[in-house]
Amino acid sequence: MLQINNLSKSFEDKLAVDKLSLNVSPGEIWAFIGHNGAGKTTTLKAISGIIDFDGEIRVNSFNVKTQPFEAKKSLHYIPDNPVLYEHLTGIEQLNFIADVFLLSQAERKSQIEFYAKRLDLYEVLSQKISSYSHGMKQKLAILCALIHKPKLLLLDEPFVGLDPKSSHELKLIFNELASSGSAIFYSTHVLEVAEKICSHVAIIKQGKLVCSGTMEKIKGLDSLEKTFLELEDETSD
Amino acid sequence: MKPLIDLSKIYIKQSFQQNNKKKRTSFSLIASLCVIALIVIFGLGFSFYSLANQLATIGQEKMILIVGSISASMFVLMFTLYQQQGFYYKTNDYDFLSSLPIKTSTVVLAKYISSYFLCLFYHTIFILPAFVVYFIFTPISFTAILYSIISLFFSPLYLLLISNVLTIIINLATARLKNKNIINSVFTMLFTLLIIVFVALGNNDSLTSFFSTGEISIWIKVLLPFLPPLFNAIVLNSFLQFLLFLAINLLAFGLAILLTSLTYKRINNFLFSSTSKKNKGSMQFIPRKVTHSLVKKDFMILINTPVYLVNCIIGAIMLVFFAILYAVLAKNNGATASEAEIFVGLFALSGAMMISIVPPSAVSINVEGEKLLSLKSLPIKFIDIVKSKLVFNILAYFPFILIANIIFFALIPTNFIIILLCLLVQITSLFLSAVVGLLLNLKFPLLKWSNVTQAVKQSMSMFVTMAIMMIFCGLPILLFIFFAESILISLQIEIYFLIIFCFYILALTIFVWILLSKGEKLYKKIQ
Repeated sequence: MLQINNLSKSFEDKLAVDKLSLNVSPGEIWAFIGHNGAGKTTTLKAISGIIDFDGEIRVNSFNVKTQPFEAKKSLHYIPDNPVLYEHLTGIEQLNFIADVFLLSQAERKSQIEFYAKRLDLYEVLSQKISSYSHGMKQKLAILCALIHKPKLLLLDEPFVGLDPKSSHELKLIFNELASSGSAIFYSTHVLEVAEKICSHVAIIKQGKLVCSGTMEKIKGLDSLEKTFLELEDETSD
Repeated sequence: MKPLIDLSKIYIKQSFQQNNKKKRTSFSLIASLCVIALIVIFGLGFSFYSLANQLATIGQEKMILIVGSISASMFVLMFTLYQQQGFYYKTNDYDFLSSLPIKTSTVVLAKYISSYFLCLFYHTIFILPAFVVYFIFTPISFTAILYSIISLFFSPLYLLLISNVLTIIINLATARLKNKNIINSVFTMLFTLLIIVFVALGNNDSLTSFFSTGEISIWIKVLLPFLPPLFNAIVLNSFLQFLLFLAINLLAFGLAILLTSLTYKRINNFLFSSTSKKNKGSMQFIPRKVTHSLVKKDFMILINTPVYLVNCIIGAIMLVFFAILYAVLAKNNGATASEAEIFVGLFALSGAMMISIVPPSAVSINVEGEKLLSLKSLPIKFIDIVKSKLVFNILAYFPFILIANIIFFALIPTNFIIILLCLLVQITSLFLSAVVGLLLNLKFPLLKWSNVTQAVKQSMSMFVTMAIMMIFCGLPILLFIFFAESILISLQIEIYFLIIFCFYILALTIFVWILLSKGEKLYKKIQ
């Protein structure tokens, strides 16, 4: 579903991502972890075609550089800070996304109703987004992704700002999506959650991929937190 | 004192901040600002010189100072009135600054300083030609020149007070209303129109009053009290009058800070807390084309952002206003057929300029802010983005072009070919400005801003678009003014319109080709 080969990205003189390679298959849930400024967001932005980069990225076998339109049809990226059109209502924002992904009337109606009710957002969809709280905006941003069933879901810190119920619901939704063949690749600092719901993990440090693989292989019998801290120390030495 | 200096530095730096930090960008910014300033200075200088020539025949050339000051003041008020909203109210840094141990007056003063520099820039380019023309016609005295130079720095203080007070009134009246953004925009446009009317009437009235009584008219004394002492100081070399001028402006500065500080938190609290939580009608799930959705989204941003709306629509409103003004002037003066053609020419060409000089497309990428990055991650073809931005720009102006032309040609009937060509000239200039604006906004995007005034009024794309469209639209106007007789007699106005139309079509073809061949690369580069 996602193949990254030698991804590099630098900003002026600073190398943000250095020759990162990774493969994500359908049905997998990946946690992408690393310290602040490690290159997580840059990687996610490169995958979603927001920034240019060196190397090759393929989404659903489409090259992000040469076939961006086809690649973007298969993915949805949710940034860490939900940026939505504040002057629109929730339903207008969702209809906008549905129009972009060419969803039929019946399809969008059923998907919006189904997921909005699960995330406790259905009652406020006719309100302007500017009246939403941070958490509600985050849920709406997630909802935007869910309605068109993306084959690859990219999320930057998706649990930040969510209430416990919505957080729990989102974990269930992740599992359901993975079971239906979608791949999920998300950056996080909440290692306990990642340990519970992710099948795979990738650890990045100063732009370089330190390790990646199945959760069991990476952490072994230890906790993910302990493994992560040990890896951080080792590579520092 | 330290927070004030730091904050002022930040705001001034932000005023000139662009996404692209290359040296070439800074050079282009300065170059385009200089081009705009030179065009305005040259245009105003020429008209002031012509007027001063006429005034000199009756020994009243000094009146050029009054005419110049009224025009400069009113233009500055017109520009700063809606900018103040973006500077003071609903800015991104309000919550952050409110949480810090910084006095409200310090924050207000820092914002005031950054808006002062902008005001100073506008005021200088409008008043400078009047001063130069005045000193061409009168004997040069060192003190008069000194007073003129110092006055450049002080006059904006009073003008800022007026625009601050009007902004406070508009916001206090609208901040708690349901559709506050739209009502706010309507109020701002009404005040701006009033200012335009004052420019037109004020200059006429001040000249009439001066000729009949030898005194400056009473309404100028009331509305612009700094003007009579400045006039007396320069003309009579009176130090006392100059001190009075300084005192009025310093008092205005103090009052502006006091009034804005007293209302700053109150208005912002209203604006931030009065977001409606009411449901906006029933939910609908009707599919639409991507371009349609994108255009709708652009209109929602425009309607709900007063600074953006007023900045873009003011040209269209002025088009309608001038259509009425030209038609009434032609009718009242009992213009002959050939004289009426001059008004037709002025309406067609200046109308083209009014609707082209600040196209929404020139900042439509900027106002998206960081949302543009999310938009980039969606499967939307570049051509759809281009189509939507151009359609949005054209739809925003098209009704005004139709209204203005219907009014003008209903009052000044002429043959169908002239009407058609007038429409074609205005519509092609609108297309041209939309394409140029979008291309330049792709080249010079500004996605990170703390207030919307920065994105709309202080962006590189807007300045360069203004400079280019001033050249494209100003050139035909200048040629028409200089060679009106030859154009109307030997060439015929229809042929002149046809030449301008062909010139715009050619320019449009070139810019569309550049947009389609280079635009996508520029769009991809935005990050």
